Amino acid sequence: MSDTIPAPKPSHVRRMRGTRTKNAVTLVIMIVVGITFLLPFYWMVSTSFKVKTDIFCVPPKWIPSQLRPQNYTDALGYFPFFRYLRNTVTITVFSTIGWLFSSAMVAYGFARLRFPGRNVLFYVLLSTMMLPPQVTMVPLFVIFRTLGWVDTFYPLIIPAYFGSPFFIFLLRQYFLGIPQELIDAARIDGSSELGIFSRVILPLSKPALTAVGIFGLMYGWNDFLGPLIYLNSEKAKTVALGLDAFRTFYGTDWQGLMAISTLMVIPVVVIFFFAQKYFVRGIALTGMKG
Amino acid sequence: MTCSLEKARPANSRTIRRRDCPNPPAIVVPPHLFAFLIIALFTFLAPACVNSQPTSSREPVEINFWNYFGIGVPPGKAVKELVEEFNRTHAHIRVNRLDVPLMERKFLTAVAGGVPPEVAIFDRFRVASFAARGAFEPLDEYIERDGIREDDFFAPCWQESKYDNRMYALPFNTDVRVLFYNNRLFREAGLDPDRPPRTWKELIEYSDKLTKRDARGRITQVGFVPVSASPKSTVGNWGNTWLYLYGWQKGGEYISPDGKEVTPNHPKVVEALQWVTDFTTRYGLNDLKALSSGFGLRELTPFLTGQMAMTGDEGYLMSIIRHYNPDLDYSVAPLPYPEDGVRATWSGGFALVIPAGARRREEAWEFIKWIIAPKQQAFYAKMAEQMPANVKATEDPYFSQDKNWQVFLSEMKYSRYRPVTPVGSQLWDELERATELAVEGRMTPKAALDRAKNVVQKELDDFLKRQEYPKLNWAIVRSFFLTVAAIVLIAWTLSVRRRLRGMRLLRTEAKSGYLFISPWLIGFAIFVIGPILLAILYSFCHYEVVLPARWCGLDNYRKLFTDDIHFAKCLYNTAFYTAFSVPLGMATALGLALLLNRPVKRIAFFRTIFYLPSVVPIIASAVLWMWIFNPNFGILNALLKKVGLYPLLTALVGQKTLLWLTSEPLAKPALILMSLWAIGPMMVIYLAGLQGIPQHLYEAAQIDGASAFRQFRNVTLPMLSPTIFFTMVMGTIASFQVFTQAYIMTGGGPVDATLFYVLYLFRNAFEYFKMGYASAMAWILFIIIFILTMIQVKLAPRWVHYEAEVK
Repeated sequence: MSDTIPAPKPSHVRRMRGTRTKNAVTLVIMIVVGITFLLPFYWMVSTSFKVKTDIFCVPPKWIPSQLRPQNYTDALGYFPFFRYLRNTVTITVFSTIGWLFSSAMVAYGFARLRFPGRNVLFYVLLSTMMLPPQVTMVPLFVIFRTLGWVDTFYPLIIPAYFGSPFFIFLLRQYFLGIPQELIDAARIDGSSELGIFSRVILPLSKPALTAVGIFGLMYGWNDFLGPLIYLNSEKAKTVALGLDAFRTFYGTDWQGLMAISTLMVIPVVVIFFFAQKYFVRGIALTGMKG
Repeated sequence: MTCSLEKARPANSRTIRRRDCPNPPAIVVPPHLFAFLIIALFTFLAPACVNSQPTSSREPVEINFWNYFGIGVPPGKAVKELVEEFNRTHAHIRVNRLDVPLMERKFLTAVAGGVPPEVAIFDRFRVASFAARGAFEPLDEYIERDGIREDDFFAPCWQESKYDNRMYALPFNTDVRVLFYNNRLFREAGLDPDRPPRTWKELIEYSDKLTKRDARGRITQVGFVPVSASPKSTVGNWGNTWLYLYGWQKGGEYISPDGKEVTPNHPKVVEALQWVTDFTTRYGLNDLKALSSGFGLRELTPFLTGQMAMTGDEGYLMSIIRHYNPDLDYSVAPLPYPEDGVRATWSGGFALVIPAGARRREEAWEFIKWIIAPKQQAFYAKMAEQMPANVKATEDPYFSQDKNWQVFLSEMKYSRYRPVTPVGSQLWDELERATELAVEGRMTPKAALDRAKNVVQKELDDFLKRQEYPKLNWAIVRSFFLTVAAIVLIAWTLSVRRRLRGMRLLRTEAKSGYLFISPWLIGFAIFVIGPILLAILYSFCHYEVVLPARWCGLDNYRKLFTDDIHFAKCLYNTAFYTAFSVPLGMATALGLALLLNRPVKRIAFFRTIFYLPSVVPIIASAVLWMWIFNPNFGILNALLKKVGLYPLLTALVGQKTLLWLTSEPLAKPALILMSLWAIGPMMVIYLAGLQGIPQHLYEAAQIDGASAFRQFRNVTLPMLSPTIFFTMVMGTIASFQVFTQAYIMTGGGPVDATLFYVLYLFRNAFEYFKMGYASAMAWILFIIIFILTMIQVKLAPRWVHYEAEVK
């Protein structure tokens, strides 16, 4: 990612040297912390290859005594994994698109436009996150049932097109940090609000939009409660539901659970790996140097 | 249910389109793009959605069957095969099986929404509480018509399915508690494996001989511990007997014959708990805890690893042993009972029910009748490695020729079942709580059980006199809400008009402002405000979800503040958790983000690694955490010993071995520590925020010769303050609603140390049928969070720096 870092200027040779030792220290810290942070992932993957008798021995076995890839074939035999995957992908992609569009718009309205009642409405928006969802679950279900949406993907996707308070708040904070001069300049050029939003704000907000995209994907991918409540037929189930079915009253199929978890986590990791490159200095690259 | 879907489907796509027409994105976002999105959405989704019910009369009738047993374990596999067999042999019915382990939430919402499944497998001990609230169809007519005989089933199974003299379920499987003991350890201790203990006195003698300590006094092997485990108790996973067993063995009862009085403080139960407490403290509770993993998983019982010589458990433990430690040499025998007591054990299990409002009851009954017949029951039992509820099925050689199963079968004569009462869940939870309080030495057994009696009796009284409260008059409610809505709308319009009069520029800006926020406004009006208003309304009602709400005024709030002994505790736990996890989480996330913002090679790689713990499902990492926190083998204690902090901490909390997760002082810190691993999202937000800081500010600071620290203080912090503000507000809101960790890992224990607010709220709403009470709790939490947020918002101008002006 060195391309995102402005090249050190030749006149600062001494500082460069300091930077190098600093970077070495940084690297060491990152490796140490990185190993700690790798543990849960390592545990999941290694358990997914363990034989049953290795899972709960005392003291714990960090390295499996033998590898058992059949855990994966076994787990995939319990339910149509790839159909569930398709459902998960459908729900995730469409709801993320919805969140990105609508939340960015609403956030711009709250961040940069003046209208009566803006603050009151914003507090209302914040407030909707403060009530535990457990108590609104039943009435919400009744609404979706009246719409005839039970056992369809609509309850899991359509609300995304009306924005999410979390994303709206997140993007509002980011939009508030964009220098006013840029907006004024565009306004003087005769841009409409829509023009400012789409040509000034959005391009400058790639890091924040990427974050929203990642969170949206993560949420849709791992959401368990929504699909649990609204989906009834085998055809419509998602991977998160399949994963939960391994935890039963009569114990847990740990091998299957870990295998499906691993399969479920890998796409997210890959997407994150590629998405994180958008965490680059948006504003610095647009020539806002003076 | 499917039939209603079939009707709804063509209509519902129309509804959606109609709703989407005035949808603002269609106006603001380039119209063609949005239209494309919507069309793509509906065409793509349509085939994946509903399975429509075929209309032709030749097609089989579909019924939905919700299965509690999940997949991957023998009982789940057996149910799956049975359903497939039924579908093969019954051309006119098609059973759609849905695996829903832990189905409380889904089941209650489905019944309340009028779309229950036709058949469900249900925890039999919870049948009474659902039946008492009218959630199940009575089955007596079917039973009589088709000559299902009571004698064909084990008595406890049949009796447990009955409430108020009507049958609401038919028993499916069962279990019974016996003594498991390790033959090898018996021989090592000089005991005869053919002569297991028969009385409580012998049990203690045997247990003492089978308990070993190492040179440092740590227990390495224990004989017996009469305390059980569940996700709700982290005392240790020592068995599956519970206080119920010991109380019955002493001659105690838990409910009066007329069902109107619960008696957890029956003198004999008190004696039993005294015995349990003495037995446990004999070895020292904390010493025992160091041996156990502190996670209510049966796969983790120390009996399985040979660290415990005897345990009380039911037959399914044999299956667990066979899978996880097939070499274990063990026998089973009847449970020892007190010299002055009665020979008793107890049974649980599952049952099949037809939920109220199910449409295809005849077909549902046909399925139930088939699956409880001896042939299917025997098939199930053999495959699931469990006892069937049908006595005839146990004549199968699988049972009659197995000496272990014979012990279980003969014990059924002495088997009891838990009280059939509408407050069964509360009684269970309070008995468990009382056991913990007593063995932890926090209360005498008598005081702890008196407390349990108090709590549960109040619940039972409330239930019995619920009809005294008037049913909600929905006409009044509706007109009240409509009037309020009209007033708010009119007042809003008028004030907007007044404020914008004569200010044309502002008016255009306000117009686009409303346009931009309109997606949220519309969504709020459709999906959010209604449920919120209902939650307010329900907080003034007795609302049991499956029954119509009854108005009770301020009753719920009054009880919360004056009567509820858990309310203050869960509020304190939550505040404690928030006070530490939010600032620590923010600091860790910011530190990592700064680290990951540095020009280091392979930064993408590191960023991904630091994000990993947030994507690993919590249930997959839960077991790892248990190992990390394990008192004897855990990484954490080893690490603390290395850096020399261990003696300090042990002195601080007064424990010989640090008992993370399993002791009161360290349970919350353990969960807070855990939460620091999952700060990936917050780190990403900071990372995004750091990118928004204009580079020229740093260049300017460098030219001024500012040190790295000063650059951080004077450039990074102020420029990042909007983001920090965001994470602080959101962190507080989220952390006050912390739920999943405790729900999955500690279940609220030990001694309620991790009973968080929303966990308790959840139990009220979905386990105790007290949605009205839960709503009142939700509003109190709402007010607390709201006040804290407002404080943060009001203090923000002092430290949050925005590029734009915010008024």
